[in-house]
Amino acid sequence: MSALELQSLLPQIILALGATTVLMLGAWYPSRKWILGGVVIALFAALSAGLMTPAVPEVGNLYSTGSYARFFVVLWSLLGALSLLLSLRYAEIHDLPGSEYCALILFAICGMSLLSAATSLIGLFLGLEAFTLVFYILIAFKREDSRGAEAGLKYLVMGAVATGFLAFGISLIYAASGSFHLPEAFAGLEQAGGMRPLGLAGWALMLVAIGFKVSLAPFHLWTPDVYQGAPAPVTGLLATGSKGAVFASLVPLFAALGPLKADLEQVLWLLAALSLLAGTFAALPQRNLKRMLAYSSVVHMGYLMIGLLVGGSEAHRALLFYLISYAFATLAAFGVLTSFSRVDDEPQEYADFRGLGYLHPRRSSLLAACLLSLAGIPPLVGFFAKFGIIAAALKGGYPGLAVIAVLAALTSLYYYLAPIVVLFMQQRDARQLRRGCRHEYFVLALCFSAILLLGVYPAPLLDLLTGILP
Amino acid sequence: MLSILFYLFATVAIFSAFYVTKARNPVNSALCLVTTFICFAVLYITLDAPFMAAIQIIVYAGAIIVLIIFVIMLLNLGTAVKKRYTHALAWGAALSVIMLFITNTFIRRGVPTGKLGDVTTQMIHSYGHTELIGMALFTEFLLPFEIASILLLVAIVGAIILSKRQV
Repeated sequence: MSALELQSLLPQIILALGATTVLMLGAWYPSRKWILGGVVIALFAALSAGLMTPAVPEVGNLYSTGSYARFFVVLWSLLGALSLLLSLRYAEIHDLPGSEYCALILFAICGMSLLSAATSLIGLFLGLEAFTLVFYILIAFKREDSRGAEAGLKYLVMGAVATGFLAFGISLIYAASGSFHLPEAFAGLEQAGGMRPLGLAGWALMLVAIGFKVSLAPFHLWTPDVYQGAPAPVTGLLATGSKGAVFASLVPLFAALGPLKADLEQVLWLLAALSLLAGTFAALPQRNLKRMLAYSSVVHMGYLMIGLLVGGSEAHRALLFYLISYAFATLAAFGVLTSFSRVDDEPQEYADFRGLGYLHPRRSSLLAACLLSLAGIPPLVGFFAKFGIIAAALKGGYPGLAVIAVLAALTSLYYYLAPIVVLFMQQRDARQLRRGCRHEYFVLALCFSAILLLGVYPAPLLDLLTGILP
Repeated sequence: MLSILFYLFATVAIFSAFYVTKARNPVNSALCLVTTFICFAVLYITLDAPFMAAIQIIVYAGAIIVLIIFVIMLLNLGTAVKKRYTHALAWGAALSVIMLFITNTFIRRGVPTGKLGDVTTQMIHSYGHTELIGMALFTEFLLPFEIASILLLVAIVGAIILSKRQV
């Protein structure tokens, strides 16, 4: 490794070193103020990724430093900074160790930005493991909470199995092609190649692992329990950053596939359709906001899968736009849940929210706006995102998937409107929940303006995405 | 001679792996796992990878199995924790048979035409296996090595946070 390569990897190094520093200083001066320090470090990493021009296009044949990778470093750093700000008060209330929490989130951001920059299967594996390992810990972070421990254990077992599948799949692909580096790793796996069966078996195993990590339909069973048990700000980062980073890494992975993609087409079709259907049907009867969001995230992953399946720069642009719109709306929804949470409980049953629109009008309206954006109601960003994906599916020749997607979007109105009805149209018998603090209001306002502005004026982001896509 | 050795140890590995799931006493399961690991180590040696064999013995058969046995002892599980037969076992068996079949067809249909790597048997004999691994680990794969160290740091922090009563 040369100095130029190190310099090109600066944002990730800032994150990792910053996390280690916070961890060490926190041992001598334990304080929850370190979370603010973490916000500064994450913003610093985002700045360095956004402003610096890397000297080399690729670091050690592992990670790209192209504009695509740097865009996602900025995005995950911002999301991480926002969820750290959200957690400040939460950590105080629940007596979480501040410096460790902050360091772990920074490590997670580092892992996510490594993952979305991966140009090699080893880089992909390490990036994925780096933040999955952090989430095993963060999900069970409230030690007194038995539901959190259960969620942590579930995620650990499921995640470990998925990691095993991923490692085995990568090793089979390596055995078939003799390379970890992305375009070459899939060379020789097409029709005429002698090692094709091995490569396909490897891909089957890798798809299982990916399905687990982003909770696609047959592998989504961990999602509701983990969402429910994890602390709300952690769930916010898990739902946005961790799934988003996997999808961000899948775009170059599938672009490198070449003719092998035709073999995977049917499996991907099935995964997308199953996620849309299973998520929708499971979300319908939910009376718990976190579980509903968990099942609805399965549906959203189905939409993203459509973008991946269609392929091509337009569909990939629609996918990334969808990813960003989903990330901000979901983070804001979990942000509202965080700002309502108290020492003893986190309100998540619909019964807890009855008539809350009159007690806490601002945050309730914001929650409603997030849910409407996720449902795809026009002035908000979710509409354009869904529209882009469905249009890409129609253009790419997948009318069946487009029909399923439209049906899922229509049905989703029911389960997204249910909590809004509870919030605003029922008798006000909810007891007062916690008042929010400044940091939380700041994050929520930022997310809301993102949802609204991108919905009204999406052109700059779309141009940016066109520019960064390879 | 070598292929007889291979089949011998492969059979022992498969049977002991089967008894890991079959044994009713968790300690027996753990011991069967040790046997499987040792068989793997022998297979590594026949593949000219003595360093991997040593790591396999030290880390897996040594450290991890000790950890597993400690956990079994601390949890103080009795012998009769497992039922004799469950339907889950039947499903698992059916799935394994299908997987075996699929793997078989895959292997029979595949033609190993993949290119050979730089490292040959002669190179291993002249340089030494450990030296080659060390060279690769600290030059070509330095960055993955460092990222793996971050992983370990995170794991240590997590173990302390989750197990300590008062941080």
